[in-house]
Amino acid sequence: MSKPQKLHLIRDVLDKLLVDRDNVPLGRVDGIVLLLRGEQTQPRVVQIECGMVTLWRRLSIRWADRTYRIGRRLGLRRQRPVRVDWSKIDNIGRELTLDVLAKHSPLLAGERWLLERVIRHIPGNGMKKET
Amino acid sequence: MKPKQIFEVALGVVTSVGGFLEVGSIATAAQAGAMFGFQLVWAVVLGTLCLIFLIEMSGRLAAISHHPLPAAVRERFGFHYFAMPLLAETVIDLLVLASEIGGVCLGLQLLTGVRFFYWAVPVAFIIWLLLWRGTFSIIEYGVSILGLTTVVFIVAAAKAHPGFHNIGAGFLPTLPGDHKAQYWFLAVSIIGATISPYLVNFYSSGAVEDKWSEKDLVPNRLTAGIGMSFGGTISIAVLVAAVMVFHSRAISIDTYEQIAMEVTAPLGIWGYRIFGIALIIACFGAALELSLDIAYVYAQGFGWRWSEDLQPIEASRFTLVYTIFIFAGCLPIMFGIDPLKLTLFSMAATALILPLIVFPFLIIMNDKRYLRNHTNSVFANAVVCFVILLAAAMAIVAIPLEILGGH
Repeated sequence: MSKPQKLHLIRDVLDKLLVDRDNVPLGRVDGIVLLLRGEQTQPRVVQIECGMVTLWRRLSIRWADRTYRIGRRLGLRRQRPVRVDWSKIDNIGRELTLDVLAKHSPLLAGERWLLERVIRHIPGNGMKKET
Repeated sequence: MKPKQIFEVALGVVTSVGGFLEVGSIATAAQAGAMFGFQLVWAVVLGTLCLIFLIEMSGRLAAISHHPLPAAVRERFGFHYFAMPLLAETVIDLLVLASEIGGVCLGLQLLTGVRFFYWAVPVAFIIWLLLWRGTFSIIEYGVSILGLTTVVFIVAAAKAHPGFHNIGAGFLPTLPGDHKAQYWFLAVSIIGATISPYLVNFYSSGAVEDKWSEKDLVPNRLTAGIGMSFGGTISIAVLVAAVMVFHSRAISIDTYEQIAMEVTAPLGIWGYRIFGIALIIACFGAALELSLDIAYVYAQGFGWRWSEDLQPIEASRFTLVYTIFIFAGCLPIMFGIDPLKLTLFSMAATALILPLIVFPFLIIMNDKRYLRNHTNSVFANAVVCFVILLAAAMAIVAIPLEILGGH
């Protein structure tokens, strides 16, 4: 595990690429979750957040909430951002390496949904036929 | 340099030349030559000079930092900033892609006589199929090498004996007596067509796909310098051939099909056929690169898996982006929008968004965290800043004037 002693959260963490143990891209750090335990204590970084709603909220909270509500009316169920515990970050360098495997990660739920619902039904997609 | 590197440079130069000319550079250079003679040669030269610097920089960024440009912009400037060039590139790339599909369809119309809008969907499908099934090498080398057919414009220009002193005089800007608004609009369109942001993104993504490292810096510099200079020479040849065929006879270009006369007049019926083939190949190659580029921008910006060498099942979101863009790009042509007008407008609009893309790129190119000891020279910064500011200023003035029909 390699995390620098001093971190600049905006420069070193926010918007950085997330990869799994095998260096497979999982997305980017769209938000950082801080915990405040009273007025006298320093805030602690507890999680990082990934998802379109988080990105929208960085641009405009009002628009993000509206888009979220419209999405729910249209039946979109996978809008909630995915939160990853800070302890799951193995290494902070050019990328942030997570101690997970891509194929089990909820960060790639959208990719898997698209694969199952659309891509696998188009011929020539590279999927080997089961024998 | 080792023999392998010399071969790579030669291949890179050939692909740069073959991939340089597309619907925008042909239309803007031909229109400029027909209306203003040699007076707008300087715009091609200025655009090419700036492109050489930008292409070299994007290759250097990929070789040293292993970051393609969109990823570096998101990381360095955050999502707040990244959203702006993302939106601008989405709109402009879509317009330019529609223009390129229009170019392929016009080439097919020239060869078969079937109206261009009937070809829009089949052309879009073939572009998609090649991306769906093909690899990066097929797109980079295959289509670009075939694009060398655009050399026909140099042959056509040379056969017309334009006189080098006339071309040389065009290197210095001079104002026309009238049609000033159209002059500046065309100058902006030429610069926009030459410095296409998609070329810069595509080149840096290609360098990351090919796993470039520090040892590729010299081949990168040579490829950018020699390849883009030859490409610019072909653009000048299009302009020169237009001067000799249209301007000397006071004929204006109102439709894209007329541009075929540039090659038909000096080379006969075979020139006409080669023009059709060259137009199809050049625009088809550019459409492939544009479709891939927009998928690269989204995938790199949002941190998805990306590579043209991956199977569609391995990069679903990446393939979805180019699929949507290709079929959206064929709609304007399918509905019969004039490809020439669409092209000229798209190219001028490209010049307008250049500062949004190029200035953050320059900041990254001067950041030691990304480039270590390979940051930009003051000269490179100055040239790129000057051309981009000039193009944007001209676009802000010329586009409204052109829309309002000023002279």
